[in-house]
Amino acid sequence: MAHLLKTKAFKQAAGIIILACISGIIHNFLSPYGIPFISFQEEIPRINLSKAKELYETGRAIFLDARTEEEFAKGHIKGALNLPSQDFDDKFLGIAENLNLEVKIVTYCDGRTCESSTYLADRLKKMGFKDINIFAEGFPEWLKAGLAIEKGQL
Amino acid sequence: MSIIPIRFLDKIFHLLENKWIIIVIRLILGGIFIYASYDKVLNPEYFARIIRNYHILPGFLVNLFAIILPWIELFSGSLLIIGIFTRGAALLISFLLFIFIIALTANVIRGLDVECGCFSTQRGSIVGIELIFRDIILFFFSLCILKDKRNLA
Repeated sequence: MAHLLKTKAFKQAAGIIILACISGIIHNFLSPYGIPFISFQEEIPRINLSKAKELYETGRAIFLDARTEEEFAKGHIKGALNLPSQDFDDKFLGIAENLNLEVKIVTYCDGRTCESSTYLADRLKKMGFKDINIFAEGFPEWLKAGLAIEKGQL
Repeated sequence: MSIIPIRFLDKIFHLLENKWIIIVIRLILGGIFIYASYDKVLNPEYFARIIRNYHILPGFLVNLFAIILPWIELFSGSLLIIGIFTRGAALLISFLLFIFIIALTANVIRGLDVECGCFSTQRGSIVGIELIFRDIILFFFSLCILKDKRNLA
């Protein structure tokens, strides 16, 4: 192992890494788009259709639809609860009895370009909910896969 | 066991030892990594978000990687194209590709919906099998450069 570390390739690689560290740090310091060197921010996991389906079929998660009431009524994942992201403060208490801080939650909306599910997930995380996932592909993908849906308000 | 596949592989490896083939591979791989680094150097915050979404690194290391990794790609790619310190550059690129393959595979298995972050910090390719195969091919190319007996550095 010691012999390997002395090889030309390793020495060159070490030099490149040192150069990259110096350049990266200086550039980050000088750039208007620089970021803190250390951050403890955690991203909420984004799951795909396959994982969402697994959680649905095993009953291990509560699905929260972040879309408006009208969109929810037109069709939603079967058993999902509606918590429109733009009406969070007004609507949260209406579904709070179905939730506890430990339950696994999956938020979704209309696909990857829709930010409502992310916003809803962020709000829930700030409230202390520990196990949140975002079903990024959303209702269109669920519908396309022919999985269980229902219509109307609960 | 048939010896025909072995002879075929032998021919492929022999072909890949050709000086001009290696130069072409170096230019392609170097160009890919320079292109891959550009947007990430300019947008470390978005790149950090993509790294964080992989849920592999401890949170406190994410920003450091987002700041430094694109520069490793940039320098390694540049050195491959220029033709100096090619062994070190190829070693780093091989290592990076190996890590990328592991990370992509882990997230496919875990069912995470993760942007690749391979070439851009904007909405790009979502991690899938085809990206893993692409990186395996690039990894093979980088090994060819590393294996090259001529000392071009």
